[in-house]
Amino acid sequence: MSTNPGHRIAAAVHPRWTRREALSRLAGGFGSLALARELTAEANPFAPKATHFPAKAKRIVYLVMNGGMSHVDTFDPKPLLVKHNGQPVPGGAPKTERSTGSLFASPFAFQRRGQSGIEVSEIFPKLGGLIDHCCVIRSMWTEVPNHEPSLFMFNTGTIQPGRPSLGSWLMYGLGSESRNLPGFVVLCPGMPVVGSPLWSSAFLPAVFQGTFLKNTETDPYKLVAHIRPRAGMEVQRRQLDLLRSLNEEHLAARGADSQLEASIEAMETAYRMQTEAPEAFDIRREKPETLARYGDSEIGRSCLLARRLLERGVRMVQVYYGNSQPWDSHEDILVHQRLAAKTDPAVASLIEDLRERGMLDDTVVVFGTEFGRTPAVENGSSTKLHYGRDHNSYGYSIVLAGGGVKGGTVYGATDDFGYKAADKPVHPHDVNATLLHLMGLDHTRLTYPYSGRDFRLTDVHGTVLRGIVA
Amino acid sequence: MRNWTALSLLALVTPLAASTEEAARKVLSARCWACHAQTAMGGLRLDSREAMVRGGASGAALAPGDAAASRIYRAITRTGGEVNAMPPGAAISTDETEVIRDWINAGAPWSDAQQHWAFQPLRAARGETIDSLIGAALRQRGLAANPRADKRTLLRRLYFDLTGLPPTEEQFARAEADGRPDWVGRLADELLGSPQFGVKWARHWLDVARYGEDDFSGTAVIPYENAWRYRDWVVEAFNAGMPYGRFLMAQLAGDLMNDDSLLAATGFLGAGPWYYGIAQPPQTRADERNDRIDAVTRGMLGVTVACARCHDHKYDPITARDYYALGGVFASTAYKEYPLVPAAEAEAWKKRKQESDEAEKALNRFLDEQAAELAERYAGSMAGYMMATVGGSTEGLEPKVVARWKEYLAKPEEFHPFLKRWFSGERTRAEAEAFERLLTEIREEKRGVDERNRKRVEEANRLAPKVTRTIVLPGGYRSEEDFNPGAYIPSESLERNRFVAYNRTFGEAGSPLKFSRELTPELLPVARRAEYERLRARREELKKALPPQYPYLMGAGEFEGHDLQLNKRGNPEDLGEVVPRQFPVALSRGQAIPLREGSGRLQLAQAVAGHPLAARVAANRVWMTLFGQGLVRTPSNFGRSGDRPVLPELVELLAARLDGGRASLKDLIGEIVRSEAYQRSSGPQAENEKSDTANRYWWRQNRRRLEAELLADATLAVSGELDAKLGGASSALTPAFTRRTLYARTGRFQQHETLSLFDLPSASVTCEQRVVTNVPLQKLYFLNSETLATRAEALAQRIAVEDAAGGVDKAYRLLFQRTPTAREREVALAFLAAGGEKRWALYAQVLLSSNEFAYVD
Repeated sequence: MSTNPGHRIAAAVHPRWTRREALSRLAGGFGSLALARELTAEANPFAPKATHFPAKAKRIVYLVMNGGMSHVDTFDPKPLLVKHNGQPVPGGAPKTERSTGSLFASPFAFQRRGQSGIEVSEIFPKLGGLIDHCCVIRSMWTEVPNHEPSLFMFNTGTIQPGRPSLGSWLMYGLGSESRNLPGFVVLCPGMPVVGSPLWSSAFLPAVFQGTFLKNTETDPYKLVAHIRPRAGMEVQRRQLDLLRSLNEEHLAARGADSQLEASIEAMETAYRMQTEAPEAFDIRREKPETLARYGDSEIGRSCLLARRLLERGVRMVQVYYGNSQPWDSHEDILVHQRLAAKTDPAVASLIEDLRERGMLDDTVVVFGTEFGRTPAVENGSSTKLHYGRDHNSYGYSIVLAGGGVKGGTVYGATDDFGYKAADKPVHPHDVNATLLHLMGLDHTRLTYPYSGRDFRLTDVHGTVLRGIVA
Repeated sequence: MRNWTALSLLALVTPLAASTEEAARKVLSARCWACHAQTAMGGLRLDSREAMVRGGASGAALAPGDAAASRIYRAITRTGGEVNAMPPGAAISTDETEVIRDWINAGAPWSDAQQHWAFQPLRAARGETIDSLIGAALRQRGLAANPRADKRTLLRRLYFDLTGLPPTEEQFARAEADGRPDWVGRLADELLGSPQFGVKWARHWLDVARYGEDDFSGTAVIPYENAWRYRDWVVEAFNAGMPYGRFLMAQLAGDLMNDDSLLAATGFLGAGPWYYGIAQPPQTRADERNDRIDAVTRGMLGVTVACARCHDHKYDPITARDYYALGGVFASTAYKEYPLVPAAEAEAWKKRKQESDEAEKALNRFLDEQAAELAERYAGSMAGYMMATVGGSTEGLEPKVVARWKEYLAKPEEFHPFLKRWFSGERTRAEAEAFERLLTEIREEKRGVDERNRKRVEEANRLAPKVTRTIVLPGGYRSEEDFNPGAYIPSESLERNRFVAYNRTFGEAGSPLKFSRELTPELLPVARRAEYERLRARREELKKALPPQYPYLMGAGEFEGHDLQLNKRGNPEDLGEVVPRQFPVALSRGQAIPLREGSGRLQLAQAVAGHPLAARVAANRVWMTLFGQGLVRTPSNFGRSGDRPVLPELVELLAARLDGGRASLKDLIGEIVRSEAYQRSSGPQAENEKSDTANRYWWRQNRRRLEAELLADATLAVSGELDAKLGGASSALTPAFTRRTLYARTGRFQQHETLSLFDLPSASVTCEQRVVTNVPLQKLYFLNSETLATRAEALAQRIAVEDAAGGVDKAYRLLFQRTPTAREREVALAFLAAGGEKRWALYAQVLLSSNEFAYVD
């Protein structure tokens, strides 16, 4: 029997409502014995929660090529672009951020890869080799050809700050499988455009926000706040024993109180985290060959750290390629080649390692970006090189793999030149609906009562892309 | 652990009547209204009982009392035979169909939104008090009230609730010594008179006011250095006991009330959030207005008007017209800075700033011209410099330029598209001269391209449509009507390799013929040096002489008064009819309240300040702060989808105490803390818990954890480090920060991690109510943060004495206002005896991490 985890968890974290009142507010689910049982987890907002239906995946690693990865140079080959290179865009170009000129063929060659024969750009040779595990969505579109709103859209389902992020919704809806690590971790060697509002929990409880780690550091003690035992573990144990006895006496004098009990438990968990977290966050413990395989690069180290965290039960790891917006190749698309050279071994190794560990089946890998780039050359700024592409929110590609995603498939298509999503257009809402679906959640039922209505990640939109679910 | 399972089962057999309708509405709105509300597909509307009974083209949809006979039930259960299965696509869940079945069988109750309790005038019973109302309710339900809390507990509660700080040893001793029966009243008056009262209570309002001291654009933080003046105004308003109506009015229209002391209050509107150039201006400005509508209507009135942005409200009688009628007021209002110095002084500063900026520009212009001349000069001897890098003569060459050519030619071959032969070893004069000729040619070509591009921009700007309305945000940011104006003007460029060669020789920073503003002065010809020195000296002089900007208030002011057009489905680019500015109709008691004088803000402020909802919402928030939960437990939503109070008469009584906005919150707080209800112990009572687990009838006080700020403040207070000074600019929250946390910098871009960890709400949206979470990451702060270690060491200084037992006693007096029990003393002494140089600091850390310290009974 299904229940509404939104209200259930609202009850769990909403200190002013008891479970009973939350029950009486439920739109559905009256008479559910299962519900009553599940509600006992109140004290710990991270306690794993039941899904709406059996999940295909347990965790998500979300890789963001921030800045706007060009689709026509990576996963969406356009022969007509080659044929009509240098000619004006038929019917004129849609309005993007800056001025664009004539059609501009990709300087990179595409090759058919794998059993599926999906064409992938030569700048992703290793990832191309894994294409049979991937679903390429070639018909993405979003609203605004500007970074901030598009970053907000795929993360939070709206173009402005103030809504919870996908990772926060997952924490709220599913809890965490790791008792000793944060459940939603965001990695970036620097800070992506917009920054922390992208992993905010907004009106959800603040504990559901992403834990951001600026992983220019590899020393876990510099990476994670407050993790080094200040007094040494032994002395600390003595402190905690004393604390426990004081807290228990305090509790005994007051009768049962789940908050006080949870507080005592949380302290013990924190004590254990001090040994487990540094180990988890320390990629220096990997073999040199492994480090070399991922690549001696920021994205390589991020992907490796992501894998370590996923192995230890972290629900969602989001990786931003780099500081600010490295993929924003307005002036020179050849920059993409340099970025891809670092990204390709990192992402391919991550997928391979997950596969080797039997984790690819229940880990969704998202290889995404905030929007694509124009098939026409950018000629907006008059003193610059005209060898790049402008932002294109009308059409772009992302790649999904693992976790219940149908591998070796292409979903949707852009028009002949790659300007606009044409066949089966997919909006970030649809991707989010699908990701939640893969995680066992119905995006229309994962709601939180706020501001007079039940809010959702997908607002009033979103359709699960059944065609890509294995 | 309480037995929740049993209690939950109890709930299942006592459904609340109101929630049947509420639950049905939720299902209908989620599943049916997309097609069967305003759209009325098949002529059928399912958003009123009357319409459902009337039905659509295929007949009545609802037979109240008989689900089986109702087409709507047959449609959703797909058992209708001739009735189409609805909604199309996947069937809705059994839970949901059961909700509809139960609701129909219960007679399909459908209350009139206008009759909703919160939309009625205040109905306060005369002669009643807080305790008479609660007492009657408790008696009626057979609940026994807890006794009054013991004096220590009550004293501690009063101190935290009224000042946000624990009592000092002296304060505690003095209050405890007051044996007169009305000691609570006297203490309450004293604490309400303390300036720390405002510090504590301002923070609660700042949650509602989504107070932040920055916004952001891209990764750039836009700090609001003067935002704190609004925060200080709020503190002072609480301390002064400002009438609540005036408190609200000032924040909406303080610039229109002929009282300069109220200008700072308009920071509620002026200090953001602003979204700058995040998306197209019409959308972004609409989103900013939406924030104001939301903050005002939910924060002040408890009505969720922002729900009506795309369509009429699904639960409350608020229409999309109401939304845009209100939106026009904010569209007619602008960000405005109010200098806190005489106008002449502000003008003088601006003038000096402009002079300083111009001197800087003049210097830069000069340097750029000189850099171009240098490039021109050295470009003529490229070949000579190239040869100098491979052992050729350096006579007459500038050593600094030689060094740059060396660096340039040391870069790998792929960096140089036109030097293949040179890199293959042919480093000859002929090769160098060929390169010089080619680069000279490319440079000429580039000049032609640049000139043609310049003309295109000029022409396009001449033809560009005139901007109709410019909105200026903080920092002088101008929002024009167009998105990225000028960005669409096409231009041309060089072929890729030619551009690369040009750029790497003349263009990029560090390229051999690019002379930066730092390098250029070193290479200036003698004849130019005097001019350079003159310009530089002037720039330095003006810059040095320019004082920091005068202080100013970030506030609101009048803008061109204009009505908005309805945005169809919330889309600011799809405009409908013009909607005259006015107050929401359903909240106007049948008498239209136009908001059209100037921006309409003053009229809006008046309508809000005296509104019964404003009083109810404020009274409820005060109650919530003093009891840990509200009488209405959706404090920003008093509408039909909100919580219904079980003691509405108490809400009415408290709201009436605000006397139409003429009384202050301080007065109300004073009355509540004097009540028996407030003073009860927070202990459990098994009998009561059976029927009122949630304490909805207030038979006890609620145990509460200190909020993020109070925990930090209390820690500083007991460690003896607290600097209790009021007001002034915020500073960063570091371990060295010893002021009350209210004065720590608070951002929208990035919140302080620790405060956030302890549930500080986002400053981007108005906060309804803080949540309280209990997670291990919080405990790592107690275990390992430098902040807590610093506090613990300071506390250790206060308690470390020869006589260890005396030290322990002192610690308990400071932290808990009591003496330790024998057992507590014993374990403490054992801990201390186990030794270590830092034993007192380690002990202090344990006490500061304890539940007793973090919770108020």
